[in-house]
Amino acid sequence: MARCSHSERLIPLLYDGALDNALRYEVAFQVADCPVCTRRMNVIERIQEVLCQTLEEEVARLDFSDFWTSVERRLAAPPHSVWSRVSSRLRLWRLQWQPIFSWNGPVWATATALLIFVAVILTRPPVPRRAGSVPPENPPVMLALNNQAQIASLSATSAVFVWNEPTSNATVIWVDGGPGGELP
Amino acid sequence: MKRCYWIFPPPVIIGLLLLASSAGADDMINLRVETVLATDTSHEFDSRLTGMRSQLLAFRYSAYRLVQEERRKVGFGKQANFSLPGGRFLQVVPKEYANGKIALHVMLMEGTSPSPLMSTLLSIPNRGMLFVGGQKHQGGTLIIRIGASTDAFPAAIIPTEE
Repeated sequence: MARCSHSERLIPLLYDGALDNALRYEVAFQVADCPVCTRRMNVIERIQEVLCQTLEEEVARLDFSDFWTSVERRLAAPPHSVWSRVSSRLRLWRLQWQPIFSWNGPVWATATALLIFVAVILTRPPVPRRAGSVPPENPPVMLALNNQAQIASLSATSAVFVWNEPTSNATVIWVDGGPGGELP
Repeated sequence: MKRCYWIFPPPVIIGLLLLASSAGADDMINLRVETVLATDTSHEFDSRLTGMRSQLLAFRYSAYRLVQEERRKVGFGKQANFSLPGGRFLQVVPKEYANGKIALHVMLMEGTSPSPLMSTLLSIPNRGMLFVGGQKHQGGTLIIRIGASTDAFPAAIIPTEE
């Protein structure tokens, strides 16, 4: 069987009206001049004809007499179950948010980055004061319940007294450089 | 051409770096060193010392004045050096945090002597404090309150009247 490159690729497109003007005219002339292309075009038209006829016959066989009665019966039926209502709402919600779900990668990544950036800014600790600077006002001091220190080692070149201050049990290390040492 | 959508853009990298840096900043120790001059020459009590009034009165001096206050934020193993009145020098090194306590190496030096006047390794509770005193200065005695706290670890705390 003779073959033509036009008949393989372009004639189905010509039949579907998918070619632009210049190419459509060129292919139409080709179909008129080339017997292979003419035959191909005829085959396509015949297939389409048979397909339409088959569909019409199938549709004609369908019985629509009970259609509206069924619709009325469904409308009069009791309310749907909870699950069906939830699933309907979920479907609606999904349709409503479809534009956001369809964001592409860079948009999601940028949005995530912005969220992380804002979270970091909000959770960062305050900038520490410069050494030696006196704060404008005293922040509330939080003291431990028991301030007693556990001393692992202690050495000194002069007399040292160690005791616990009675109010908060804070440990006091008293270093006295004077002769003999002196307690307050 | 197929595009690769999931390459991290620079804002994500910057955000992650900032997150990491903020997480690391929590492993710091806040040191607070307050130097108080205690004398018997008057009955004046510095209003800035109200928060430790009851503790200071236990020393049985008649007057207390805050002469210096410094706050530092240092990491474990890092030195925090404080110049005290009268040419003295205090060095505090946070060593570790264990069982709700902060281990500190505290060293007090005076003049140009190479050996410290006092050197101790001790542990105080998170947000706890320690007093170091006894040095004579301007007709009185210096009392140093050293406080250490960190927000990286929980602590059993109570508010004071300050």
